[in-house]
Amino acid sequence: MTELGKIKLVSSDSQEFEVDREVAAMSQTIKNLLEAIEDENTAIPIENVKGEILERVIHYCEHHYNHPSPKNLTENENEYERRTDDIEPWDQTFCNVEQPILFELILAANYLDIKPLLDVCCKTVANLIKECRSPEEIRKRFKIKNDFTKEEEEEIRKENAWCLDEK
Amino acid sequence: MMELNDRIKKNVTEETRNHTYVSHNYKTVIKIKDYNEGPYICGRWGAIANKAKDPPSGTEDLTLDQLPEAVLWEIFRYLPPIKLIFLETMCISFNNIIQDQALWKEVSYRYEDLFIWDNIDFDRRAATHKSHLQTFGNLSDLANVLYKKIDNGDDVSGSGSGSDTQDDELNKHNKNNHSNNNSGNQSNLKRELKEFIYQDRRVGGIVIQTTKKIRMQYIYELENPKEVLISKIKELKNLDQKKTGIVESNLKRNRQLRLSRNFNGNFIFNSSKLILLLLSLGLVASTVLLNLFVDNKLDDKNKFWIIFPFILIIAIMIILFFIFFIAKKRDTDIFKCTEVLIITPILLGCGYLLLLPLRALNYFSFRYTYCSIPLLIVIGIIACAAIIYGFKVDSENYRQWFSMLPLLIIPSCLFIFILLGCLKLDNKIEASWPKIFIPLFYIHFSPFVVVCFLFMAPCDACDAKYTDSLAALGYLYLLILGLMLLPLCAFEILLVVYASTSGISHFGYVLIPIYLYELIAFSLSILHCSSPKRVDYF
Repeated sequence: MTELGKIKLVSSDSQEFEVDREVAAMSQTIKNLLEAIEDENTAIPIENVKGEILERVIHYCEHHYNHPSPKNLTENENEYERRTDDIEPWDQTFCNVEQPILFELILAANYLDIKPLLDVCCKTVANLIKECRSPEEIRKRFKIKNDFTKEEEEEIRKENAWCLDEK
Repeated sequence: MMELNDRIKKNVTEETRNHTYVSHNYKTVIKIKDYNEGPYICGRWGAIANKAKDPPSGTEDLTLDQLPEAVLWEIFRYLPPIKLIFLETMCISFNNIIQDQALWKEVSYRYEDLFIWDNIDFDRRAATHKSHLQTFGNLSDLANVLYKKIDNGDDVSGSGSGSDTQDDELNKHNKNNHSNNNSGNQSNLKRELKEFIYQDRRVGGIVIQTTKKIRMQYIYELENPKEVLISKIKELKNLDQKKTGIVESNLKRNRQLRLSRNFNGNFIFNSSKLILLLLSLGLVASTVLLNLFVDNKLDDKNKFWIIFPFILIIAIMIILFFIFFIAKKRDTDIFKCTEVLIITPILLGCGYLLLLPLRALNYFSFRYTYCSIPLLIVIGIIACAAIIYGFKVDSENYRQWFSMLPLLIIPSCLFIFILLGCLKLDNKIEASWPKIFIPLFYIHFSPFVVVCFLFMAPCDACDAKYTDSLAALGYLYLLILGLMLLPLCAFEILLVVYASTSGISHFGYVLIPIYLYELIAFSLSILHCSSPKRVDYF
C-alpha cells in the first residue's frame, strides 16, 4: 500500500521506487499511464529502465520538481535550445557520469519522455563531442566502430579531406 | 492480478504506439516504430524509432553508435558543422543521419554561434575580419528568417520593384508559398530580402556585383543548408589560414561552389599531368643527348635527329601551356595575377634553351654569360616579387613555413652559381677555379624550372581552390627551388668530385644521373600537387 499521493515504480530488475505522483508526472509517459490507470496503488512497471538508472531519473525529477529551473520558466525557449554551454551546475554534476550510464539516462529520458533530462543529457554528449579535436579522438573516446568498407571510407575521406587532413 | 497486469501492458503498449516525437525547432515528426509488443515486453526502444539497428543487449555497455538514430539526431543538432563532418566519417549510421538536410537546417539556425566559435580564434579573427563576420552574421540572420518563413509557408518573394528576371527567380523559388497576407513583418522581410539579394553590397571594400549567379546562389543557399554551411566553413578556414585582410567576394565563392559541383577538373588535370610528364621525359632525354652532342660525343650526321625533337618538344610545351592557361583562365581575374610570374620565365627560359641547339649548329657564336644575364634578372625579379607579394598577403604562414633567410639565400646562391658557371664556360675566370660551377651552370639548361611552371598552369586552372592564389605560386616557386635544387646542387657536387677523380670530364655523362634525379623530382612534384594535402602547403 503506497502513501497518499505517491506511486510505485518498478524497474526492469524489479527494484521498487516510491515517488510523488507530481514528481513522476514529469515523465509524460508515466503521466499518461497514471491518467489511464484507475487504481492508484498499482505498481507501474518501467521494464525498459534498470533500477540504477531509474533511481537517477527519479533523483533528477525530484530535484527539478523542488528546484524548477529558471530557464524552464522563461519564454525564450529558442535561446535555450541554441546553446550547450548553459547547463546548470547541478545538472552538470548529475551528468558527470560514465558514458554508458549517460547513454542509459538518455534512453530512459527518451522512453519516459522527460524533455529537460533528455535535453541536458544530449547537450552533455554534444559537449563531449565538441571537446574532441579530430575524428580519431571522437572514435577513441566514444569507442565507435568503423563499419565502412575501405572504399566508402576512402570516398568520405576524400570528400572531407579539406578539414580532416588539417593538422 | 493477472488481469491488472494485462491492462497495464495494454495501456503501456498503446501509449508507446501513440507516442510521437516532435523535434523542438523544426517540424519533423518521427513516428514511433510499430512494435509488435509494447515496451513493457519488448524492451527499451519505445519512444523514438530506431530503424537502423537492433537494440543493444542490456549486459554490454552502451556506446554512442548504439543509440537510436532519432536520439543521435537530437545530439547532433547541438554540434557545429565541423564536428558533424567529423562524425560523418565515423560509421554508416552517423553518416546517414548527417546526410539529413533537416539536421543541417537545424544547425544553420544557430551556426553563427557554433560555427564561428568552434576552433576559431574569434577575437583574432574579429580584429581583422569584422566586415566579413558581419556579412556572415547578416546572412545567417536573414537565412534564419527565411527558413522559418518558408517553413511556415509565408510569402518571401518581392513584388514590384525588382526586375522581371529577378522576380522570376524568386517566384520560381517560392512558387508554392504565395500569400496575400501583407503584414508589417512580411514587408520588412521582403525589403530585407530585396536588399540582400538585389543590392550591391560592400564587403571589405570589395564591391560585390549582384549578378544572376549570386542571386541564384542565395536561393541555392536556402535550399541546401549543408552545402552552404560547409562552403562557409571552408571560406572561413581559408581565411583563417591565410590571415589575409582581403575578404573573398561572393562572386568568387559562387564560382568556387559552381566549379566544385559541376566542373570535373580531374580529367583535364590528370591528362595534363600525363602529357607534361611525358614531355618532361622527352625534354630530359633530348637535353642529355644535346649535352652529349655539345661534348662532341655524337656524330655530326645525327645532329638533326637530336636537335629536332628538342625544339619540337619545347614548342609543344609552349603551345600546350597556352592552351591550358589561356583557355581556362581568360575569363577570370587570375590571369592578371599569374601571367607575369608564369609567362615571362617560360618564354625566356624556352627561348634561352633554344639557343643551345643554335649554338650546337654553329649558326652563330654565342656567349653563355651574355645570354644568361637577362634570364637571371627575370628570375630574380620574379623571385623577389613572389616573396614580397607572399609576405604581403600571407606573412604569418611565410614565417611559419620558412624563415626569411633561406628564402633569400637559396635563389641568391643559385644565381651566383649560374653566373659563375657562365663565366667559367666563357673562360672569364681563372682555369684554376673548381669545376663545380660548370655543372651547376647546367641547372640553367635544365627543363626543371620550365616544367615546374608549366605543370602548374593547368593544375591551377582546373582546381578552383587555387584560382586566386598568387601566394601559392610564390610558395611553389620557393618550395621547388629551395627544397629540390638544394639537394640537387649537393648531388652535383658529389658527381663533380667523382668525375674529377675518376678522369671523366665530359658533362654529358655526369649529367645523366642528374637529369634522372630531376625526372623523379618532376614526378614527385606533380604527384604532390595533385594530392589533397596540397591544401596544407598553400
